[in-house]
Parts: sequence; C-alpha cells; structure tokens
Amino acid sequence: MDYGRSSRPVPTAIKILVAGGFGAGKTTLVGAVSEIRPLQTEESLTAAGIGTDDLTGVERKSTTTVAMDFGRITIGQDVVLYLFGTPGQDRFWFLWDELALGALGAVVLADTRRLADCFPSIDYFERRNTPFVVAVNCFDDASSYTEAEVREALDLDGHVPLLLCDARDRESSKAVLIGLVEHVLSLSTARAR
Amino acid sequence: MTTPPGRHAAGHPDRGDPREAGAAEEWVEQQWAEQQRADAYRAEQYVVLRGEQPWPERPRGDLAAEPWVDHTWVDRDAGPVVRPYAMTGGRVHPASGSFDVVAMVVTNRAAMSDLGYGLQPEHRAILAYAREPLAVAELASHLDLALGVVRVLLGDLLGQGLIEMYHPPAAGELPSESILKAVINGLRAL
Repeated sequence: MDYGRSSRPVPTAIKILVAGGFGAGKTTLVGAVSEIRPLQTEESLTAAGIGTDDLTGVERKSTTTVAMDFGRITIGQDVVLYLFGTPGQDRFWFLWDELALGALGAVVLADTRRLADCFPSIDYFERRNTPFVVAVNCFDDASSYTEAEVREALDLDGHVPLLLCDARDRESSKAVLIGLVEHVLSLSTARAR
Repeated sequence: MTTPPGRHAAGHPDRGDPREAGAAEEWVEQQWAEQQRADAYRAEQYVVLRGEQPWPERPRGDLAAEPWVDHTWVDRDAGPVVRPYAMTGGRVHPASGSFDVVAMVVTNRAAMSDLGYGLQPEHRAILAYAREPLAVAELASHLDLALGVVRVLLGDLLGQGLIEMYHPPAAGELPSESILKAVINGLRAL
C-alpha cells in the first residue's frame, strides 16, 4: 500500500486579490462566490518580523493583528482559486506586498459614492504591474454615472476593463472574476506575440 | 437491580461498574488530596529555600469570593492560553522553507510512522489537517493561529520531512493559457 501520497492530487493554487476602500464590498464579493464560508486568517505584526518602518503609528502596540478574509473556488481537480480580501487600512500595505507576490490579478471594487477610496488600490497595482479590473459595485443609493465618467475619474488605462457589478450577487461576482481572468489571458497572449 | 445495556454498558465483568459505590467521587477525592499534598510540599520547599510565605492562603470553592480573578474575559475571549511567541519558541522566521499563503501543504504519511520528538500539539494538528492538500492560509484559519506562527511551525515540520510543500507558480510567471482557459470555463460552469 502506498502511504506516501495523499489520495487526492495536489491542485495548482491561484491567488486573486479583492481590493478597494473600506466598505466597498470586498468580503461580500468573496462570500458571494466562495464555496466555503469566508475564512479569516490573521497576520500578527510582531510575529511576522516586520521592519519598524511599517509599524509607524502602531509601534506602541505590542500585539497588533490584522485579519484577512478569504474564500475558495475549486475548479475541477487541478486548480483552486483563492480570493483574498486585502486589508483595507493604509498602514497594512506591507501585507499586500506579500499577498500580491505571485497573484494572478486583482479586482478593485469601487464605490461611486466614495470613488477616491479606491485610488490607492489602483495606484498600487499599476505600480506593481499586477493585472487588475475595476468593478463598480452598484449600491442602491448611489447615483449612476456612465462608464466613461467613472473611467475618466479613475484615469484608467484604456486596456483596463471596467465592469459594473453587484457584489452581493453570485452571478454578477462570477462575471467580474471571469472578466479578470479573460483580461489576464489577453495580456498573456499579447505578451507571447 | 438490572441495567439495560447501553452505549456506556455498565457492569463490565473485568472492571466493575465505575458508577457503583461512588468510585468517581473517591477518585476525585484522591486526586484532590494528592494535589494538596503536592501544594503543601512545594510551599514547604519554597519557605525552606526563600524563607518566606510564598502566597496568600487561597479560599477554595466560591469563585465570586475571589476578587483577584477577572471573570469578564473567559475562554476564547481571554485570548490564547499559549502566546504566539511561546508557541514558536520566540522565533519569528521559519527554520526552513518559505510559505506563500496559497502554498499547498500535504502531510508526508510515509514519515508519520517515525514521528519526531519535540512536536507540539499544534504541529500534530497541522499533520492531521494536511492529510489532504491544504493551503497555508486555510491551515492558519483552521488552527486559529496567525500566519507568522503557522509558517514557523511548518518550517519545523518541513525540516523533519513530515510535510511536503507544493508552491504556487512563481511571481511574474503567469499560469499557462490552458490553465487560464480552464479557469474561465470552470467559473462559467459554477
């Protein structure tokens, strides 16, 4: 009998980030498509051995933890998607670096009532060359803008997809993820040429 | 008196019924007496070594009569019994390996027959959870431990050959087109 291996093949893990301002619907979107109830994991700043620069403002706290929500989507036997809601506060950006490392891409959730909240996320992914799409979460009480208006306000590069979504809705959130992977695929085809 | 046979079948011929003749109470009494003897001995040793009364007499029984015990935070609210730094022996970096949040951990069952010394309950919990492939982040979530702590523990297990790691595609390396297409189709089919 072979005890050496698990009976299940080890799937390839793909990481997708869900970013956006506080309250933009990150956890909602993760929850809408995840096959498991969104799990939470904590990174303890002290245990992570972070450089002191990153602790500016929290240096007097000896045990600060920051929670990340994540969900999982199993695609067949070979691939598992992990969706990570990025911690919202600016001072935890160092966590993004680690999360963004090796990530397939990112969804930036935008709330048109507070559009500026998602500027830092867009800056971040542009700077890192991480493929991303912007998903405008259509809140009920938000006044509707045209896609062109939002695109202009965000100063998005022409090739970055802008999608409208309802983060509470599974189909709508699925469409956002499909949009992201298609965007990554088109970038990869373009690169191959 | 006859007892109907149940899940905790009474009257086992070899042991006798533990519920009979107050066996449990007797055992508790024994443990209690032993504990008190041990306490008394320690106190005695303390006085011998330090020459002073080690601690005030603690009234037994009534929890409410213990004003120095804060009862507002109990169980999980009180935080972990073992602090993270104690769990890792003060280490902040794993002894071996690097562990992305989505790196897959699988217990190496072949090595399980030869479990190393110095494994903590948390190490063993990881080995139990990772019998099927599991991502680092999921492990951390199941164990309710910070990622940094889990990484240190994983480093120990990796060093002893008790787990295998499967790393996600390296940074800057996009998955193949066939995988991307499979993901798109898989998402559509959800």
